[in-house]
Amino acid sequence: MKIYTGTGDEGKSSLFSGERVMKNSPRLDACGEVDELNTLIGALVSVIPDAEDGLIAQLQGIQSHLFRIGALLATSPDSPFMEELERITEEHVQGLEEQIDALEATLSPLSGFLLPGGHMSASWAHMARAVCRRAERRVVSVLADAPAPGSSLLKWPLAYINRLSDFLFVLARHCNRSHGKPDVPWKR
Amino acid sequence: MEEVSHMSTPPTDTRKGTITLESRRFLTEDTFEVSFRCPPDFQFVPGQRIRLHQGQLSREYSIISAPGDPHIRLCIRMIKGGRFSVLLAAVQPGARFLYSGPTGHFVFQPSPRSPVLVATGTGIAPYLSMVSTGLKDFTLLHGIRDELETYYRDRFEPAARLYVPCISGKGPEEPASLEVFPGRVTDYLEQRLPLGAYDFYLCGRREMVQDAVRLVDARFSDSRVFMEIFY
Repeated sequence: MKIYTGTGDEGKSSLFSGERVMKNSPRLDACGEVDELNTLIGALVSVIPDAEDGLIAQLQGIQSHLFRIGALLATSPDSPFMEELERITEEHVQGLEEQIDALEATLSPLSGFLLPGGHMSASWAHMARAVCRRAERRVVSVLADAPAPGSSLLKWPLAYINRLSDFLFVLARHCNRSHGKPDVPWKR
Repeated sequence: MEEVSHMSTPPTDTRKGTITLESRRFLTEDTFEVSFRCPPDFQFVPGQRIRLHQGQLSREYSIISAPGDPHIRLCIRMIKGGRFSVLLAAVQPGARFLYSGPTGHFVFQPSPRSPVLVATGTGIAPYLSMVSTGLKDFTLLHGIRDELETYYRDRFEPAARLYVPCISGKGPEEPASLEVFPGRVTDYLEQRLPLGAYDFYLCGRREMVQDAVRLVDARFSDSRVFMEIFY
C-alpha cells in the first residue's frame, strides 16, 4: 500500500470518517497542530539522555495520546466510527497532572517569568509548549464549529492539551536543572 | 488519506507468526485465490489486510474471507515483474510464510447514505469479506478487462442492489452480455450514477482512485469517501 494517494492535490482531504473537507478547515488545521506538537515532542525525546528512560516512556505515552486526539479531531462527531476510537478521558488528564506535580516537586519555587531556552532539551520542550498552546487554540476553534455531541467528545482532549503545555513548561525547567543550566529570569 | 492518516490511531497488531498455504485455485489466467489456515488468535475486521513475509520480501493483501472462517483467503493478481505474486502463484501447498497484521482502516462504516463500492481488478477483495459478513443493498462497480474477470459475480449479485461489471478492455465492439457497462468505473460514475450523496468505497489502482475522488468532489459533494490504493 502506498503512503501517498494523490487525491488531495486540489486542496481537499478526507476525514477519517470519510467526509471531504478543505485542507484549511478548522478540523484539519487542528489535526496539523497536534501533529506538529507530536513531532516536537519526538525531537525532545531524541535529546533526552537514555538514562532518563522513565521520562522518555512518559513522553512516548503522551505521543500516543496525541495520536488518539488526532484521530478524534479527524473524525466527524456524528460518525458511527467515532465509537471505535480510543478516547482521552478525565483519567488521562489526572495522570498528566500527577506527572506535573511530581516534576514540580523537584524544582525550586518560581518567582517570575523565565526566558525560554537553556539546554537543547529545554529549548525543545519550550518550543513544544508554545505549539501546544497553539494546538489548544485550534481545538477551541473546532469546538466552536461542532454540534453538542462533538463538543463533549473533545472536552477531555482539550483539557489534556491544556495540561500538556503546563507539563512541558515544568519539563523544560527539569531539563535545565538536570543539565546544570540555571533558569534565566525575565528582566524588564 | 494523506496527512490525516499519518496521525490516526492505527488498529494494528504487529505480532508475527507462521501460516501455511493450504490450497490455491486460479480464477483467470493471471488471478488466483490462495487459502491459509487461520491462526487461532488472528482477529480482523472485514476490509483489513494481512502482511506476508518471505525472506526480505513482504506484501500486504486484503483478506477476502470472513472473520471466524477457518481459513484466511486472499485474491491475488500476478503482476508482471512482481516477485511476491509470482512466488505465491508457484509455491506448493505446505509452504510456510511469516505473517503480521491485521492492518488497515478500510472497513465498512454504516450510515444513512447509500454505499457505492468501486473496485478495479482484485480491488474487489475487501468487499468480498464485507459481503460475507452481511453487507447488502449496495451498488458495486467492478472495473475489469473482460467478462472472465467477473469471478465473484455469484457472491455479489444476491447481496447487491446493483452489481455492474465495467469492462474497459473490450474495444469498440458491443460487450457479450447486456449486464455490463462498456467503460471504466469512472465513466459509470460520471455518466450513470444519479447525483446525490453516497458513501463511496474506492479500492484498486491509484489512477482510478484519484479520478473517482475528483468526480466525487465535483458531482457528489456531500458524500463520504474511503479509499484503499493497491498499486
